[in-house]
Amino acid sequence: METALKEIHSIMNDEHAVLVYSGEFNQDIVKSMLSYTEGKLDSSGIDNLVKKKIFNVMVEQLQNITKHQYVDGEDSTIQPCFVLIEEDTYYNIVTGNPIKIDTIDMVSERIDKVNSLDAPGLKALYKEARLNSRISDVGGAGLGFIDVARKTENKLDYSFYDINSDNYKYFTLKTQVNKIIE
Amino acid sequence: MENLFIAKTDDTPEIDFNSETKEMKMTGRSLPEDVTTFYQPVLDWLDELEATPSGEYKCIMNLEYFNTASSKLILDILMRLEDIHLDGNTAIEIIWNYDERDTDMEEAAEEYSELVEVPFKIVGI
Amino acid sequence: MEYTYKLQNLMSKSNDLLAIRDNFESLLSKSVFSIVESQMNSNNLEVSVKNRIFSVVVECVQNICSNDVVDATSKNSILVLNKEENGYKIVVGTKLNNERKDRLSSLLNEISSLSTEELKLKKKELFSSREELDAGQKESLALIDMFNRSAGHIKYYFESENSENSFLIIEIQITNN
Repeated sequence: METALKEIHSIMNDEHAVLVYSGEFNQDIVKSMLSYTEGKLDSSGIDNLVKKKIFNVMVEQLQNITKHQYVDGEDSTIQPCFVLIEEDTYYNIVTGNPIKIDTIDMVSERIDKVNSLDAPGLKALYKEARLNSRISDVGGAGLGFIDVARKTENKLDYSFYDINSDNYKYFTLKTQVNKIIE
Repeated sequence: MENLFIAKTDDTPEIDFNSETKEMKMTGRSLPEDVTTFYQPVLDWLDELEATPSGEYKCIMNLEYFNTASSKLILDILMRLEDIHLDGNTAIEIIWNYDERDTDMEEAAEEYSELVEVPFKIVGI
Repeated sequence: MEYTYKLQNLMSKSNDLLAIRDNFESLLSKSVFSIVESQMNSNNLEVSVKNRIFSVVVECVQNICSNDVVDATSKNSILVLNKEENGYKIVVGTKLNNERKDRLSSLLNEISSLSTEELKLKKKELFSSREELDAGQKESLALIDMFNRSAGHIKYYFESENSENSFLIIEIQITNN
């Protein structure tokens, strides 16, 4: 099949994306994305603390999409993807994965709640979530959102897109890590 | 002759030139951007060897991959070995080991063997 | 974030696995190589095919992609890894100034017209110089290597961006034995 280089390049240019991976995710691939980002951060002389944050956030998001990449009996072109965006003062880590329609409300609620809290509020929510140890359909996703919000000190941005499916939508999550910590 | 040892990295091979065993081993892969800087100690060592009659030396290549920049330097190394061998003070034998599934490497070894006049063994492993 | 879904769609439909858009200077190049390697390791490819893909990526990144970095935000090159039915396609794109465009254009035209034997001779010629190779010679050697590794399955085209710059795209196909 012909590559879509031109269109991909055009979108990447517009969105300041430096890496896009679309395909199967496994431990090795996650490791290679991390080591890629490490190389990138090293060559831009980023502070170690920021590096750690980016790593933690990436691990969280990438492990999440690794868990949620498989769709039952559906079109196999609905794949997870990872986009790394580089701006002057921050990075965006964007992940996409198929999500069961009946879990959308819960996920939205969780992220909205996280976005509505300040640092002390998030700390309290984290403690509560840990104590409750709720195990649900989406596994540890609850703690993950809180953790990411606390580390990045930024709001989480998310969307759901329609795909040709009765049971699934496409969930995208964008987190922002600032290059300099104030 | 002094020994020369450079530890392997992700993009440079291990260099193990030993004057007791009389073996010059290069192992791993070679893809540094700045090949000249990396290989300078090797070339310097070979200059030493040229000035030091040493009986017999074996050069054992165990390279899994090298970029085109390295390919030129590797030829430079082999040509120095040829000079040393033809001078008559030190006999050189080159043994080029390669993964027998890697036909490109076999071909590269053959091309090198045609370019230098030194006993050259190509061994598929 | 619609671009995420758009990209995913585009890429999965055309079997593009990976797209990297950046200035491939030294430290970053190593990371690119390690990503490509782990992609290769995830698939049951023959050793010689793996090495060919790897070497084409190395030569593209080190010799074809533009090395001049104007500033941290402008990215001059792109690399796409595409999975075909019986192999892989590596696509590299890079911004060029006029001088480099003329040089690469004539090199590509020349090398693509040579037979395997003629390529061997040209390589020998380049090797016979005891001097360090200049930029054009390094590019020649890299292109010859790419042509050999892909058994000649290379397509290329230049696009003019403005009066000072062009964009070069090279597609290299590596098929399973």
